[in-house]
Parts: sequence; structure tokens; C-alpha cells
Amino acid sequence: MNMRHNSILHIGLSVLVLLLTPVLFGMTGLDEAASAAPLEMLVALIGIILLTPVFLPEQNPETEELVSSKYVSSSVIYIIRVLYSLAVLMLLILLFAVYMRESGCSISAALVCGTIADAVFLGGLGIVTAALTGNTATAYMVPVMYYALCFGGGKKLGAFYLFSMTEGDYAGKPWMLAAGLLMTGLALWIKELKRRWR
Amino acid sequence: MLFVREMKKVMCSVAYLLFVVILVVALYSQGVFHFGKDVLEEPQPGQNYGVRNVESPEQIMPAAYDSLWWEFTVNQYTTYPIGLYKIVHLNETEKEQMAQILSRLNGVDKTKLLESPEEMPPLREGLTYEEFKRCMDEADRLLGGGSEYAPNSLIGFGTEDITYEEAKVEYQLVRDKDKFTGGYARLFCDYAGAIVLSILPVFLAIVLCLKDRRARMEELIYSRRASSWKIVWVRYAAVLASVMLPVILLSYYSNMKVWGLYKGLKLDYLAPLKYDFGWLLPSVMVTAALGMLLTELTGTPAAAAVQCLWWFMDINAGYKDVQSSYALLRLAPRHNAGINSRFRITDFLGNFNRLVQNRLLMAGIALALVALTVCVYEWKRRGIIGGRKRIKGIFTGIFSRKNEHAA
Repeated sequence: MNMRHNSILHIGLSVLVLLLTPVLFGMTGLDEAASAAPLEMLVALIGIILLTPVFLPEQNPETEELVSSKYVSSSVIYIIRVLYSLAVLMLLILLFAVYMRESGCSISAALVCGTIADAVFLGGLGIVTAALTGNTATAYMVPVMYYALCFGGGKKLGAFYLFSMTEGDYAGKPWMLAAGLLMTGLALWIKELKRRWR
Repeated sequence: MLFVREMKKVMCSVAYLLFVVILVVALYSQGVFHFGKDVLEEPQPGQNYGVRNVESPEQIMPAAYDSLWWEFTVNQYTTYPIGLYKIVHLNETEKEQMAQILSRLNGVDKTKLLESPEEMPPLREGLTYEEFKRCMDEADRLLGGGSEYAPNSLIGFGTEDITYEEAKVEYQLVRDKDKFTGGYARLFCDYAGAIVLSILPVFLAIVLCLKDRRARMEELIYSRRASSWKIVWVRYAAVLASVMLPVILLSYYSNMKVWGLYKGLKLDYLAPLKYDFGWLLPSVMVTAALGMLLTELTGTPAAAAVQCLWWFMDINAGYKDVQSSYALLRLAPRHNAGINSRFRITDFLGNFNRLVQNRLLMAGIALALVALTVCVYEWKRRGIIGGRKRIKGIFTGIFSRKNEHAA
């Protein structure tokens, strides 16, 4: 129900990004480093699309009041949304990896997990900004700019460099996944705090 | 008065604060605030002045042929059709066609080339450069374009050392035309335009346009006497002014670092301002205009996705060759050159007209988009279109069974 009303557009947009990826990148017979390019540069962006707008419906003060008045806590609703957004994110990345593998690309489990880590990290940046600012449009700015920074000499970002798998470096990915999940948890906590203080 | 109010709305928003912080961080990370040690010295005889690409058939023909042959043997070709890295594998028919092209280059029968591709035959005696270029053009088209065999890209296989005399001429151009500060201002614009200003203004436009909706003020504003024309243009001007203000300050902060490096020499103190308005403003204009139009039209932040896609394609179009950096449809022209290459001033001057055309086109598109936004705003005011409700309704309607019953 929640998914149909609040996330269908974002899931649709994510699918669109995935459909666009083979058009922009070649998808046949790529080695592991070359396979990392479309995964890190485009597929990981679905993290921003799926996780950042988790609080979007309640951005409208009237909706927020209505939701707050219900028996089920809004935190529970947020957790449900985060969980299904993460599930959809993983499912889409997995499906795309299968498609790439069927196209003769070299896809390892580490590459898939690394892409999920990138997506969760970018989404984490978005969702925590959304929780802090209370404005989803503003929240998109931070992950988008982080992504842009990675283009302009992102190696300075160390373990948090988004496009490291293209260079065969997977070491930072567990850190990115942990940071992404931490930021998502932090965002939920901030929303809960804001609700209590209201 | 309306302008001040709209500007206040932009500048007092969290989005704007984030914009300024991100702008500073992004530019700092690119080193544009550390020009203080980058002094351009006059070239002296006996130094290394760098290399440049040159259309030398003696270099290009064997190098490009060698590269094409190697890719043919592994049937894996690297291309950048829209700037993005793409590996191309040819099917059997296409492989034959490629063998035919190679056969014209080395004079060996194509069936032999397909059977034993291990040994690379030498280029055919008497092969002219024009014929070679034609073959390479065919190979590029067979690969779907964007390969290094494209006529414009072949020059990448030929390099030549820059001579002392040429380096000196470049130095004189920097001194006389750029008056030194111009080169640094250009580098600032390259980073600011590509990384921040061709993407972030869209968010400010979105936030400003959605503010009325969030505050439930849309209907109230619609009923006011101010014309749609005035409201939209004033808003647009407010976004542009808010974006350009920190940009101008930061460009001067960056440029001032080098003023002390050229004591006794004539400097252009207005260079940052000229480049901010001539180079960066059109990118900001078109980005903000697209943001306003799509936000007014859809009532959602959909403009962010569209702008991100455009920016992504543009930044990946990169600067494979000098000409593509100033292509007519570039959102953010590229000229990433510092003191080591004497700001590549000859490239800049050689492409100046193309840059002007590009910037005028972007500014023109921006103004057209704003004019269109005025129309959309007016239609919404008259109730001809309902913005978000209609567009979102199309999507939710697909998944809503209730609508079926209603129908």
C-alpha cells in the first residue's frame, strides 16, 4: 500500500535509469573493471532515487499531522519504507548484474556488493540530509554533489571514493556500506527526535 | 521590492546555504584557492615546453594502424560514442567488413587476415594519408562512432615537442591578451562550471518554485495583481543573482591570489568578472531555467533528474579533443589548463568564436525556457493545467483500482 502510493514513481525512475544504462554504456563482453563503470557511474544512482524521498509524503505539514495522529507510529512507517526501498534497491542491482552476466560481462559477487554499497552510501547521504533539512528537493543536492566531486579528483576521498572498483579497488566498499546504513539509521533517529520535540 | 523578497526567499533557504558550502568545498578541492604559488615564468632556452598533438601522417599512420590491428585481433574495440567508455565487439559480418578495411590498408587478402590475425602485416606501400583517413573513418563508423579512429581524433596519435619559439609566443599571448589574470579566471570557470554551476542551480530553482506549494500560498499568489510575466522573471532573476553573488566573490578571492605574483606587469583586474558573466552565467541561466520550467509544469522535483542526466552526459563528453570542449551544445565548456601548458592560450583563442556561439545559444535557450515557464504559470493561474495533480494522476491512476470503478 505504502509502496504503491509513495514509491512507485521513484521505482519507475530507477528502472528507467537501469534501462538507460545499456544505451549509454556497451554491455557485451566487459571485463570486471569495465563492468564496474556502468555499475558505479549509473546503476548506483538508484540509491539517491530510492532512499532520499523516504520522508517526502510527510513533507506536507498536513499529511505529517494526519500521520502523527494515527495509532501506528510514523517511525514504524519510515522503517517500513526504508526496508522496502533497500530491498528494491538490492533487487534491481541484482537483476541488472544478472542481465550483464547474461550479456557476457564478468560480474563477481564483490562487484554486486560494491555497487549496493555505493547506492546505499549515496542514498544515506540523501536521507540524512532530508531528515535534517525537512526538504527532499534540498536533500538531493548533497549526494548529487558528492557524486560530482568524485568526477573532479575524487581519489582524495580515500575509502569513500565512488568509482574505485573501476580501478580494481574494493577495499573502501564495506566502509561505504556501513556509513550508508549508519546515515540511514541516523536519519530515522533524527525524524523520531523531531517528532518527540514537536 | 518583489525582487528583494524573492531573493530573500532564496538566500534564506537551507538549500542556498548548502549551495554556498558545496560551492566552496568543491572549488577548494580543485585547488582554485591556491593559485598563489602558480606563477607563469617566461620560457628560457633549453627547457622542456611540453608536447602538443600534430597531424603528422608519419606518426599517425603506423600508430593508428597498430592500435586498430591489435583491437581487431582480440575483437574488442574501445569507443566513447557519447563520451562514456564503451567496449564494442563486432559480429561475424562486421568482422569481415573490418578485415576488408584492414585489407585496403595492408594489401593482404581479407580471408587471410581473418584466418591468421596473429602477425601484423605492414602498411601497404604507396598508401596515401587521405586514403588511410578514409579507411579509418569507415572503421570508426563500423564501430558506431566515438573511436580514436574518427577523423577528428586521429590527431591524438601524433605528438610533437613544443619549441622554445612557440612557447615564447604563447607566453606573450598570456601576457598581452590574458594579462595573466585571464588564464587563472578561465581555470576557475572550468572547475566551477563543470562541477557545480551546471547542476546545483537547478535545485535552487526547484526549491523556490515549490516553496509556494509547501506554504499553501499558490492560490493566494495566483489571485494577486502581479502578472505571471513579472512573477516568473523576477524569480528567475533572483535565482541568478543569488547564485552569481558568491561565484563573483569566490572568483575574485581566487584571482586575487595571483595579483602579487606579477609585480610591474599589466594585469586585467576585471578578468574574473568578465569570465563569470561570459562563461559561467549562461550555464547558470539554462540550468535554473530548466529547473523552473519543469517544476512549474510538474509540481515535482523532476527537473533534478533531467538536469542530472544532462550534466552527466555533458561531463562525460569530457574534452577528448580541443574542439569538443567548445562544442555548440556543451552545457559547461571545458578548458582545463594551467601554467604548465601556458593556459593553452592558443587553443582558447582559436576556439573563441565557438565558445561565444555556445554561450549565446545557451543563454538563448534559457530565455526561451523562462518565456515558456511564464506561459505554464499563466495556464496554471487560469486553471487550464493543474500541475502536479494531473501529471501524478496519470501514474497513480495506472495503479489505482479505484479509478477503474470510478470510470
